[in-house]
Amino acid sequence: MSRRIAGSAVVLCLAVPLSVLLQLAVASDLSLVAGAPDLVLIVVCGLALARGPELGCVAGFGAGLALDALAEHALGRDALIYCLAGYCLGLAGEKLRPPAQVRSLLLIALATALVRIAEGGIAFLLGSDGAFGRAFGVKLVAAPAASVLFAIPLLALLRWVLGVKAPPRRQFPVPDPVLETDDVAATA
Amino acid sequence: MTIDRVIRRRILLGLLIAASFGLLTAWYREVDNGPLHRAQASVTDASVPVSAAVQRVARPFRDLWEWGRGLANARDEAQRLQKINQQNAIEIARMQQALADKTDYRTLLAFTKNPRFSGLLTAFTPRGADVIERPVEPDAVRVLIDAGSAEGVAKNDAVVAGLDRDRAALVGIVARVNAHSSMVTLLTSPDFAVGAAVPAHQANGIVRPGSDPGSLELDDVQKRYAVQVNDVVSTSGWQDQALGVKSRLPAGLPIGVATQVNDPGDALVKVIQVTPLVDLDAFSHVLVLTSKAGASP
Repeated sequence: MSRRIAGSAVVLCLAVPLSVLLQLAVASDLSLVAGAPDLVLIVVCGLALARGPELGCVAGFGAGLALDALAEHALGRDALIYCLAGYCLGLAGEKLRPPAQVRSLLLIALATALVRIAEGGIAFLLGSDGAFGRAFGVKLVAAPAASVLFAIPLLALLRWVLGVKAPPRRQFPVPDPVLETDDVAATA
Repeated sequence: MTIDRVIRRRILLGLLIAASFGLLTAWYREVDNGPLHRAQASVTDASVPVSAAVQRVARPFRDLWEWGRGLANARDEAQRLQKINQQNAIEIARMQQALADKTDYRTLLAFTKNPRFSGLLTAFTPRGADVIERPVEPDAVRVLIDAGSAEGVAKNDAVVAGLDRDRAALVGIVARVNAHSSMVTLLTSPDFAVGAAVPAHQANGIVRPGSDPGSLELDDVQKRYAVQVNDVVSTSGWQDQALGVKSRLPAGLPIGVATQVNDPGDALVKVIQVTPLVDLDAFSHVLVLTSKAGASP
């Protein structure tokens, strides 16, 4: 139990702020084609998949608020988006059998695309002309691809920190060997 | 999962969404130096050292990433740059050609305005033309230009090419005229002959192709004229007032320079070796001196 709490605390207090700083400082330089990875979303996703929607939405809200403050957005914009993303990812995580590596990566790709669309939509609602149109550009494919690429090592690291272990492999029942009738007759 | 837990998480989500909307509303409703804006500015200021530290720590990794990405893109980049280089080389060649053309045109234009020659050209209208066909063999004696009878060119018109700033020299005469092109016989053609003079000594003669390929001879120069090496040989522009005929070539048009004066003791006239002023294998733009009034050849 203490390992579980310690892991969550490390991710909340260390990984989330670090991901925010890295997102603002270097993520734009790590772009593939035209899309940068969403390091914050990867960390929020890792936490939400492992610990559920409550911690996911709290981590998402905190990380989004920090992004808003540091990137000088309107306060509450990214907090709302990442909070909803963390909640939804947490709900999805409850239906997955851990560690569900491939499906986690697909969820991250989908979430990155939806976050981009949501950011464009909110910017459009707040009066930024063309923001919604820009969200549907090449970034809509490139950003999820970059996020998935970075999520492969990061999710593994987060699982290790959070103490997520793969359940034992399912044991399928093996049928008993059936004796041939000729063999039975010979034995008799 | 218990119903309490579901309700609890929904309440938590609702609270966080409400907080987000509250922040958004407050942020937009307050003035630029409101408490939220000031708090945001303070957080940004406070994060500067941390951001700088993160930048510094992340720099090697970022450089490594950039290096890896650059390596992956190196081949594409090399091909792209090669293509750009080829395009640039073509563009440079085109611009160099345009510059050379412009220089030629400027020389020819300056020639027509040069007071030394403009007086000679009063009876002529200069027509610009480009050389569009030149036989590939060395010492070719004919070229095709892109001006013909439609442009006022007539047979036996003088054809000159630019030398330097404002000088031009004779390169040949028009031998055949089509509607939009003309064949020019060069000075070195075996069937070329033109009345010429050495203005410095008032010596007249006839310029013909020399025995060596590409050379000219000024012969029939009387022995009493002390023609010297490096004297300029130009057209004489003869006319016979009794018969009422005159040359289609203006007088004083440079042809070449004397490079050797042969004065055999037993001959009646001197033979002077002349080198054409224009490189007859290289010029590409010419002026055809078309006659204003129909002068006879």
